[in-house]
Amino acid sequence: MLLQFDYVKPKSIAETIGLLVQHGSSSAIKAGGTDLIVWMKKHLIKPEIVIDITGIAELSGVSFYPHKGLRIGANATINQVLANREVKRSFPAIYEACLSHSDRLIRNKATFVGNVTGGVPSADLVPSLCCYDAVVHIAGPDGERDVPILEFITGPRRTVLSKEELVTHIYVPHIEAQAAGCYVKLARRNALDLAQASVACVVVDKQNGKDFRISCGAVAPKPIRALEAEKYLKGTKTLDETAIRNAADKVTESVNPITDVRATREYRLDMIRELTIKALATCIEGLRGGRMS
Amino acid sequence: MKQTVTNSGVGKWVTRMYDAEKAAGTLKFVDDLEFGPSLLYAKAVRSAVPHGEIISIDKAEALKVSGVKEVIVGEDFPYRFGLYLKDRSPMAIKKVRYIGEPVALVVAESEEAAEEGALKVSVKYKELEAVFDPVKAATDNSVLVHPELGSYEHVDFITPQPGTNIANWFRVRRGDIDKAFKEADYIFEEAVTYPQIAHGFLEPHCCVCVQDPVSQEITIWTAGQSVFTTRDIIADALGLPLSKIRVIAPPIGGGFGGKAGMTIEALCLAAATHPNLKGRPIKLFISREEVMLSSWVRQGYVARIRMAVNKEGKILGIKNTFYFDTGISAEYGANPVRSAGYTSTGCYYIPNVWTDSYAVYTNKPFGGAYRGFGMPEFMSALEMAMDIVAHKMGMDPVEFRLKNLLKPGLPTCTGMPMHNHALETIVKKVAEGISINKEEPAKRNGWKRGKGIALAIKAPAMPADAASSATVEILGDGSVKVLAASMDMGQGVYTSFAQIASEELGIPIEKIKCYYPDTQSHPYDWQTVASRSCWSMGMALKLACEDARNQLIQLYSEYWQCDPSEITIEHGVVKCRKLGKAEPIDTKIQNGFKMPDGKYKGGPIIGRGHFVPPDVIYPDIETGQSPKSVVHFTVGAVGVDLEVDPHTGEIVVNKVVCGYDLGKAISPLNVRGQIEGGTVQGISAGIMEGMYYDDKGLLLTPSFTDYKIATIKDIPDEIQYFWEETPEEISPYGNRGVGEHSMISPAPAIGNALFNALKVRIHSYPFTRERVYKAIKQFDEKGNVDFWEYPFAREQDYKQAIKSWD
Repeated sequence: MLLQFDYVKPKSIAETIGLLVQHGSSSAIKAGGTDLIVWMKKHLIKPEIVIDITGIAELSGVSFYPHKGLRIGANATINQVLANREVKRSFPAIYEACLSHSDRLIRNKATFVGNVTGGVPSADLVPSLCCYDAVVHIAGPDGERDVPILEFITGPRRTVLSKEELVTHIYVPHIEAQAAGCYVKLARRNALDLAQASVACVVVDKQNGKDFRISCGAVAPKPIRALEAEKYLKGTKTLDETAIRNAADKVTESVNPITDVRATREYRLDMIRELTIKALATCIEGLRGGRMS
Repeated sequence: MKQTVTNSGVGKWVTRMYDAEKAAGTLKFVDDLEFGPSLLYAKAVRSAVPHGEIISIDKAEALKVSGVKEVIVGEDFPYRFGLYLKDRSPMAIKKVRYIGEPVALVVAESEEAAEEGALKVSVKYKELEAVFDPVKAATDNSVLVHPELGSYEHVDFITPQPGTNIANWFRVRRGDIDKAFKEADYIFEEAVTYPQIAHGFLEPHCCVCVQDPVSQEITIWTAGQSVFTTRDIIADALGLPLSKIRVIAPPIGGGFGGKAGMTIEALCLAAATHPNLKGRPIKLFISREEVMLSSWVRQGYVARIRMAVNKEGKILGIKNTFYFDTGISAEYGANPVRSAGYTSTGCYYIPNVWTDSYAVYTNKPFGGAYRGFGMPEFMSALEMAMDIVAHKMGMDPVEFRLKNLLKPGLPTCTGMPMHNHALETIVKKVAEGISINKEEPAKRNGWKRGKGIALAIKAPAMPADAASSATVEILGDGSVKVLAASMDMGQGVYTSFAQIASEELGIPIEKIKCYYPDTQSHPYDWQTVASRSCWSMGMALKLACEDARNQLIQLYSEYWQCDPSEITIEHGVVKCRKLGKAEPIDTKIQNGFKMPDGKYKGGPIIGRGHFVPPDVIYPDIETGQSPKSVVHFTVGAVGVDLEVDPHTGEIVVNKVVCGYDLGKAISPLNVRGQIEGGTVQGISAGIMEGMYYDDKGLLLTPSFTDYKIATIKDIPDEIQYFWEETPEEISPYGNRGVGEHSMISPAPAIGNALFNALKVRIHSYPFTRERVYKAIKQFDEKGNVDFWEYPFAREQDYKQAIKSWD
């Protein structure tokens, strides 16, 4: 049950920042509301004022700029991201992550950026963003700043965002080479569930060799890239089963899951290995099949 | 000769009633009803400790919240309620027994104020040692959940054991069990566990109660399955006459047993009967989290089954010990324990039986009625044990089952002769349907495929005197008003009733209306539970229709001056072919017929019918024996073809084939719905559902974030269903219950198919991905075929685990 709160719907970013400055930690920003309202109902947060940013035109939309990248506005719903053709073509790991998120109805309300700003370790969209080196664009009373996704989330439900700041959009740079990507997720059932463990993988076919990017979800307090595994793969000539297994072991070594009601630490460790093998095989197959970027 | 003709009678595929209103959203549920500005809202303050004495409850801060009218505590409403055993007070009095138990009720002018007030009530406890494991609770009396058990009132057929945590002990003693084990060639002992699970109905509990300050009459609007039982339990506890309590049940969004008996109504009444609040309607709507915590769930279950078998594969004896984890209340949960007990040889003839079935109190949310009522738990154990024994003896699991089948005429474990049924045919059809002995490759790369079968059986589990009555009024335009107080909670019982009325009255179904129950208008019915409505209420309704039809025919025969046998009712038109008469039913039926002598005769036609099972005798307390312990059994079988990913433990059910002998399908569309729905619910329970607690008794799965139920993406590609119709002797149309049965055996069929696929036997339900993976890993690393995770030890595992990054 919701407790009493005030509600305001600003028309601009500047007005929003003004409200944030005025109300600070007693305020909460609402876009899709699919996390916020649930957390408020459970009294996990008790804002005195809810600032609804859905009326701000500048924060809407998903746009792709050739040779530059993808801009996802703070109000863009996950379904809007899925509907953008360029996402499926150029950012398959993001596309698959979006599809694995909740269900069609919730995706129609939930925003892409909200999944990131929530800062939960199991957030489906974060590992793929890590693989594409996405950048979080922030506006605040002192101006604007860009923070790489890996630095944006600092711990479970914690981000670098101050109480006076607002994420305006996320920017995903375009990869100027052939690439393949995927997001594989394990949960307790096939839809509407949080990841027990997940792996995003992007393989870029550069002239000087393949570039591997691997990130995991729900197995560390903040976003990670499995750098040891990436380095190992880059230095490996033949990508056979053994190499993939070795890489999967290295990914497993780079994570640090906990036990909760969704899964034990031990299962998550084993599943990260399995999911990595699956993700790498999918990407390598994708590149062979000429899945273009 | 049959005197009615209709196209929408018994056995016809017709359109379901009330579906259009549900789809359009115009049907009003309790939460949709308007009560005006006098309505107050109640919100419970809940215990934060699993077991403790209440030192103090500080209401001062809550009462300061604007809009808060009253804070009520347990002592203000010191009544104990219960269907079979009065062990439950709506709020804790002096002592709390589980995390989530209501300790106070805040009543306010708005929902928000009630919520805020509830957050501001502060309660101090002196914590006591708690017990969560039912086997520990049953075998070691160091913690007593109900030290006062000896003083609680209960019905005769429940046997609580004061001074222990055993709320009910059901026994079967048949034949010579020691001799059976002495003479056996093989002895097998198996153990199986199942955690508590929740119904997951869509509509949370909601009720509105008001007491008239002058007449003291109470009116209750509730999302309930059982208006009369709710009324009777409340009247009994409060000492009020039945006529002073009116219970109205608008349409409900699913029940599955979770809204049977009396649930949250007493808590709401604590406010409605309060001297300062009397006269104002009070609304209590509980959230999903509160539903999970404080309305009953399916009991946790631990079974130990020993079987004595001879070389030929005949089971000579069975020794069962069942521990049902009933949480802090067995008021309803005492009865599934009986149900499992008096059916404790399943679908098999076993001459020597020794069963101890216990309801055990623990410091957890409480167990009660849930579709299947003790049988999904027990059959999950027995059908797995049957499979294990067959495999260990090198026998075909289907052959082994058929060899020991409870054939018609053979005695059940209570000594009642089994009635006619087609189980053998069903088992063979199911086995053939999944080609059980044909090894087929998995459809998915790297996966393993397996097939398994499990049998199902269940009797309506109810008191011997569970009665029904109905009235049928033929209205002035030939339409029909049916008052039969069963609850249509989605199972489609009003469609079935309309079909019965159509069949008996010769009136098309479009002209027949069944009304949602209200104790003020409807005649008595015990409860909508036990798969009993089409059978028990079916008997009453058929009699009521016959009564109305006879009245109508009698009047027409005098009106037309013909013999009653010459009159027919065809599609709503009354005919006498001999005289060439035909007219649609009109106002005469309500205002009276002008007879040839010029005088009026008749008046509104109201048919009435009532029924109580005529020949059931309670099983003997010491031995469980009775010439007829239950009204009938519905039997069936489920076959599962599945595959499993050994890398993750994920299960995909390719195909389910199931069949039940239901005597007669009154409403085939609804039978299909019940079979498919129950099958999906059974699969869901089998592969993902479970309520888990931490080492302090805190529920870790309080909402759908972590209590997972199968979605459409988790259900089988194909559910093949069929039914047999071996008629039941005492029954309106030969029909037996079928509502619950489809949920009983999908889970054990999956367990048996998993063994077939993996050669690993998982003894603990559900077969979650993690558990299946662990079982495979244990087999690969240590070669252990049997995998067992004691659910009540998980709390301890959880205590040791790394749970946080901090």
